[in-house]
Amino acid sequence: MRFLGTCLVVLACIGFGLGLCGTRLRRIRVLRELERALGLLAGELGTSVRPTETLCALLARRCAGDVGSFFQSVVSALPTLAERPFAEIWEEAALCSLGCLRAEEQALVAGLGGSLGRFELARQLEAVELCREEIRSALREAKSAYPAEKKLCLGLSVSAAAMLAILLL
Amino acid sequence: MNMTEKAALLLPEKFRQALCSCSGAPVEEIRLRLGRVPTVLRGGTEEPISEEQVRGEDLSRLLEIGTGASVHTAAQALAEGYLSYRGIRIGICGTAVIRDGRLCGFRELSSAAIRLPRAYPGICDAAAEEICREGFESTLILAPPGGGKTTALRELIRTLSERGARVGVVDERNELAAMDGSAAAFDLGAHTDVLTGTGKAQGALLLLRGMNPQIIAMDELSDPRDLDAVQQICGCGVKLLSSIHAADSDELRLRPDGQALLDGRVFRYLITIRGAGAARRYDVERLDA
Repeated sequence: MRFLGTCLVVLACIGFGLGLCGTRLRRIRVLRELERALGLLAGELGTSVRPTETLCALLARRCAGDVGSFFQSVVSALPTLAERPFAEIWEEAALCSLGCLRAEEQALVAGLGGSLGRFELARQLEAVELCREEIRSALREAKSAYPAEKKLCLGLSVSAAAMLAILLL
Repeated sequence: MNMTEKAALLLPEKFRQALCSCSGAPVEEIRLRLGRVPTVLRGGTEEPISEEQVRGEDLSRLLEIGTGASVHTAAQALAEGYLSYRGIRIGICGTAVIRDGRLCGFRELSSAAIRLPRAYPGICDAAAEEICREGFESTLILAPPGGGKTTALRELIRTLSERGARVGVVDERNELAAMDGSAAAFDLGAHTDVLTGTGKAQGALLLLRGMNPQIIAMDELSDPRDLDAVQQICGCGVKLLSSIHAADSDELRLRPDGQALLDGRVFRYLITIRGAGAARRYDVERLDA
């Protein structure tokens, strides 16, 4: 019985470590997808001068996971444009759908809604490019930090598991 | 949803209710001027609808809603000083941005005029009878701004189309058919083809080449390029139906290109709209070359 309990505690510790690694990996995936989406957004905006709704619908179809959901949330909320500003719709979608990002990254994406669809094309493209650059740098940092973080998370969880196993057995 | 309800969607909540509760004569225009109370134009007079003043953000919101949060897609129209929203024309004023010598938009908006189009079936029946007495001949409608040119033109297009003529319409500002998505808010007749969003000169030639029209209709000849297009089309075997800003033919003659439109070679009939509201008169005059 004691052995079984110890096994469960060990598994829980390792699971916790793997969960932490998964959260970091998910952030990297979302940042990568977001960086790609902003590239697509700038490309479509610059070449086809599409309306914001069409653009967001297109990105919702072409982007995977949380980023796709983010653009889908914007599209779904656009019929309420007469009730609330676009910046608010965009911000709400960013805060709801991009929860795995850090607060400053979320704020960066949320702030983009204040520029999109409101100003002349060149200024919108500038704002998208600026945001993309910031996301790219966050992605670089997250990718370079990931191996060490992974080691740390797994190391700590395995150590904790071992310590608890010794204590319990 | 009627035009007033559609227009109300463009306004901030604080003015929306006030507009919808307006009773009496139908609203022709909604005027928003920075730092002033919003007004509606009906029966030729402006009346305030709220005691609250219009703020800069109200005008920015109008632009945002009017373009579906896509100001960049309306850049060309904005450079012409207007915006088209679901068949409603929004005229705008503000600080102009000039680039390479041409107006390319507005930095800050100072006022907006939301014009609500309406259909008045049958208002031009007598005039239509007269211009079609010997088969339809090219016709020009004259009236000052807000004088009912677009309404009259829309009515004539529908009447001619219902009589079996193939009418091609260049609806540059989307005011004639007032297309809202794929549906037209106004009936232009069963034999009418509508081309929206293109300039009159380019659109007229496109219709001529592609749609085999018998009559080409277009609203408000104003640009010298529009007048060039008229000259080009008149020798191509199609009739023209159009409108222009002028109180009457004497006023039109004062314009540089006015005389050419009145010499009877391009247009055979003039319809001059006189009076306002229910007292509008449609005077038909035949021009002889």
